[in-house]
Amino acid sequence: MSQVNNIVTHKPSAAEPTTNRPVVAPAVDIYENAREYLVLADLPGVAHDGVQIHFEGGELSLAASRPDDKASDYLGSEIVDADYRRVFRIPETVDTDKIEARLVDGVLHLVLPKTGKAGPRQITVKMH
Amino acid sequence: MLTYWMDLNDPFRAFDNVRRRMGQVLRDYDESAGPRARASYPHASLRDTKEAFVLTAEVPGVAEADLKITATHDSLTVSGERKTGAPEGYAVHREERGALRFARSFALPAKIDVEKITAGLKHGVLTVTMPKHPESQPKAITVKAQ
Repeated sequence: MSQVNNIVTHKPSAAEPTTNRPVVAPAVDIYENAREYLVLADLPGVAHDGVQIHFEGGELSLAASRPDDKASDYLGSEIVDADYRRVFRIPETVDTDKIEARLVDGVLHLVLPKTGKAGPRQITVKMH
Repeated sequence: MLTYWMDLNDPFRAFDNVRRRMGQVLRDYDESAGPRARASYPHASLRDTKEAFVLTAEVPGVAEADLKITATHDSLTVSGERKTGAPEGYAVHREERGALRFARSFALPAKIDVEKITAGLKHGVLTVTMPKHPESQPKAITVKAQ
């Protein structure tokens, strides 16, 4: 059975790896209220300078990595030195200049404020 | 498989067979994801520096006050609670980070000094350092020529 399954044993990831470190998509929560979108992402072990947030062409990409662990005296380990990567398509109503990010207890908080101009509006139908 | 179609007493036997085979494939795929996929929460590592055992556990989003650690001379239990959920006034688009309550125990391979255990929380990773009991520290024994 193992031979048959070789084709599916690769883990799904958000991007093709370019190094031998595995790339995983962090778990995220996405919330919205009248003023902003709020994205929370689990990034355990990542320091402030290990997070890169990049915005281009309507896509917000989140990349994070944690420092290499040089210890070799492990009795057992379930923790992998992974790179995190995830890309979000951002609605045009987001004011990209005011995106803010903060890292608390290994959780990234991304605040994406909405612009005022894209609020609800009424369109009247003209008669000819 | 074709022979089953000819079985007039049980014409749906072929479907049954397919369903069973699919179930097996899915079970095998589940197991092929490796031990990490089935590991309990939180993911943890245990190191053995010569003087101490060092446990690291990934607990993103768990506040210091919500973590509880108890130890005996040869085991350590980490328990805690993660509170997530939409903040007041927010609508939910996607929720992958679950709120959860967890407890996980680790059996240690040697006796530890319970009084000297220290624990720290940094970037959502818990590190517990458990110095070994003097009894379980390695001792050098000199060999005398006779």
